[in-house]
Amino acid sequence: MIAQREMSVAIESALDARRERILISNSAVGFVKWACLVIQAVCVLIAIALAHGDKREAALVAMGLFATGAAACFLLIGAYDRPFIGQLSIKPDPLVQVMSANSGSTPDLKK
Amino acid sequence: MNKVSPRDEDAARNKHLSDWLHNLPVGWLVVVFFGCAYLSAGVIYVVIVEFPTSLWVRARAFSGSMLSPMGTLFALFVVFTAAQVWTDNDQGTAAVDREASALRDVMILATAFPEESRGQLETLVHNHIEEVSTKEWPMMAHR
Repeated sequence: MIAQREMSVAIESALDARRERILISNSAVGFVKWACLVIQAVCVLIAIALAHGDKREAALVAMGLFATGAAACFLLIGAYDRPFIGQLSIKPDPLVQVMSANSGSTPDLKK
Repeated sequence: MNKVSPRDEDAARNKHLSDWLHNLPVGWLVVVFFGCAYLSAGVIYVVIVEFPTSLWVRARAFSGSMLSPMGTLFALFVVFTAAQVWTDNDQGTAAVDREASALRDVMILATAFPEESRGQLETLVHNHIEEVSTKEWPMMAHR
């Protein structure tokens, strides 16, 4: 009886976690947010170019540095933007481990 | 007959572009993001520094004082966006871990059941995990 109750609690918890996982898979940085970030970065680049307009080398170095920093920020956001797609995405490894822990071997999921 | 509106076509095109970009390996993401940033900086440099017009020259007077607040605004945008992205990632990872732990609990509790029921439960959990790994995961990636 206790085992049955605990079992239903565990199944409910698994279904809740699955629902949350599916909901999170819909999250992403929207087009408007990306556009605002890019516009703001372009504005800063223009301001730097204007501030150093009379010194070409200084303008080049300052703009290059800011462009590098901004690109790193965009990369950081872009790489983790959608949690379940891409090289750095969340993988189903913990779930697969449950299956392999039970069967004692790593299952072949690529078929 | 179903008609596809221009808005739906735009959304589909944006989705394909987003999928393509996010499917790139990190090395190619670096090339795309840094390439676009340097290209933009180069264009702005040529337009403003190499070919200054009277408007740009007059704008130099106040551009220095604008630099600091604009940089702060950009930093705030980046921080809030990055915080949202990382929170989503953490919650996703936590949800997957919780699901795995709960399924492991089911497997352990199944040992308290008769042989036949235990076998059925293990098969059901096995099938669920296989379905999640092979079907749900690609669907979540290309939602």
